Amino acid sequence: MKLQLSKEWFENRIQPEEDFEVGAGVPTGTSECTDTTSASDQEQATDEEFAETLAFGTLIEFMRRDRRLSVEQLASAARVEVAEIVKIEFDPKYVPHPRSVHQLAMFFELPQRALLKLSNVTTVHNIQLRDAAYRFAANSSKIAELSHEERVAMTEFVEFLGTQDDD
Amino acid sequence: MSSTSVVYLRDGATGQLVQAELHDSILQRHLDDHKNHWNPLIVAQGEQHGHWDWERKWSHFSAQLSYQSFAIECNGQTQGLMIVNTIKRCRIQQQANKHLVYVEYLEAAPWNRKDIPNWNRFSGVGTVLMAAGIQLSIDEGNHGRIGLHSLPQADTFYRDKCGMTDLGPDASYNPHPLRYFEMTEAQAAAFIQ
Repeated sequence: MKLQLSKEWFENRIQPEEDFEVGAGVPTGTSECTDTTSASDQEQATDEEFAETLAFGTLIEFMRRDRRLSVEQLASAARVEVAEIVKIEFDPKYVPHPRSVHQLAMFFELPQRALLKLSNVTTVHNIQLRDAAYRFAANSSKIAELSHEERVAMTEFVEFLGTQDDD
Repeated sequence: MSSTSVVYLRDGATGQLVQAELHDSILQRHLDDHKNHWNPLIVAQGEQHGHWDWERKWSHFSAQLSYQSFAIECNGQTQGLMIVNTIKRCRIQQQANKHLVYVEYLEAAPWNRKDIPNWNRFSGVGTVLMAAGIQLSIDEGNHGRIGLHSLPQADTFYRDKCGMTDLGPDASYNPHPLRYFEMTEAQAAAFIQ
């Protein structure tokens, strides 16, 4: 990130006589370093967001099956809780923890920002992503091995996510 | 990969602006500065944010994509640190549920506080960090919206200097009901114009 403000801006904004104290965040003596995405923040996807979370869960399931991993093996390899993987794959409205999305993106070498959007960890959505998510989810069925059509759908979807990683 | 921006602080001794660097990631040397230079003063003062352990904080948050950190360097030392969360949501009615950049932790070096005398104080640390938060919010598509829970001694800074909306003490922010402040798009635009 680049902050590009003129010297004049700082001259005007930081007055010679100003005497403000600054500071923000939970004071000492309380629980520090907790994941602030608490259970209460762990929202369920709305009906509009449903397509993305469904596609996210399906994508993770496909990627796992494509590598012939069990849920437990994926959880161990990606350092994500088994229960979290189960929720991601089987609860289409489950919004995962940001860390889990990060770990799965790293493990599967998927575009991280696009995956965050797809998982509804962020709400920076766009219509193209939602449409692509619908198409991908519609072409998916939960069978033991990926069919040719599923593999094509997964490949196309991953390629599309790669185009969504910047905005 | 972290990047650096040229910013300015005001030297309390001369009253002049001095060039500083804003890093968009906390680096090990910043954590070292906190441990070796900030902590002794903080412990001596027994301040209310006395034992924030930034190394521990950052080791926790840095692995998560939704968090980003900033550090200001000036005069060869770390002058301010901030960790923000990019997936929190707004509370002000007019922008309710939209995303903002939430300031999890913000702290200035202890010598930059008015209650620690006989140190060369730099002012503007909070101003620079707030500008960084606004810029990140803009970059994230959140139009400059930011929010934070203010330490009591900083309420006037966020309310009067930054022009943020004061939503009052937040009872849900246990166990300390700090005041919650939020900046709208218009307030952010006014701040950085």
